Amino acid sequence: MKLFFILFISTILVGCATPPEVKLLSQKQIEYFVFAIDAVSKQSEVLTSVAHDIAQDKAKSIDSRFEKIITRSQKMISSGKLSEEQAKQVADDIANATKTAQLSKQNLMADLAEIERINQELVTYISSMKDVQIALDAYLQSEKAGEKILTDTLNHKSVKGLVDSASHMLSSVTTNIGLTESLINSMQGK
Amino acid sequence: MDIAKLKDEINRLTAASSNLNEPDKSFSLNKIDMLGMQIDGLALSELKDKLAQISLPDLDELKTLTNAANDATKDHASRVNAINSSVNILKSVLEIAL
Repeated sequence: MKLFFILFISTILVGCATPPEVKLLSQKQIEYFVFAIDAVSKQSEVLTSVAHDIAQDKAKSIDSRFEKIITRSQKMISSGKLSEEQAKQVADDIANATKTAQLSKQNLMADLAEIERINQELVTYISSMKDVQIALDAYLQSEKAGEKILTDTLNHKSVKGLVDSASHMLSSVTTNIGLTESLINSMQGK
Repeated sequence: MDIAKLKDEINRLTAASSNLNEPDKSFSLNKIDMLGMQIDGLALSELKDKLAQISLPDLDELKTLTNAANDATKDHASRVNAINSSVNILKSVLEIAL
């Protein structure tokens, strides 16, 4: 009974052992994620920086265009040659320009904020993937404890002796089963 | 109006304004600058739209699963320690028996 218990536990532990190459890869994967996090962080930083520069440049362009519209409109009014309808048109242009400048800048800033948010989310995601790998690796490496049990158990002189006996007994049992089958067959006239 | 259409409209007005007299020319140039402001406002839209196509898994779920796995590994380690203790007892019993 003791023998079968030991052999049963040994079999299960042998079946659970993870190849060392897999464990090494698991550990290395954590390092690879560190590189990936660094690369994605730098890329995100550059992308955000470029987006900021574009936003600043375009905001200045919007201001410049708005100033041109105001200057042009003032010049038209100063000329004194506008009809009533044209004067109304100038007033509408100034109102529209003010609204357009405001909305365009808001759009620019909203898009910039969204770009920053998505970049940060990507960096956070890669960092989380590293945590996933650390969790998986912790389990894989903990199987070392299982291997220790197996090694300890199988190398115990008494157990080793028992395992050798079991192997010998198994071959005897197999032979005996064959003999029994032959006996049964001869009794049944086969 | 999208950027391409805005640019087409600017090109059309620019070509037409060269043949205009004041104040129509100034009105046309005002319109061009207003369209230009709209284009400036859309400068980051294409980049934002492309990045928005990136679909990431739910980070909260990922963190929950990671924490659960860490807890399970700790429990497993406790069981392994318990097995180690049991095996040590078993070895002692075997030594006595044999």
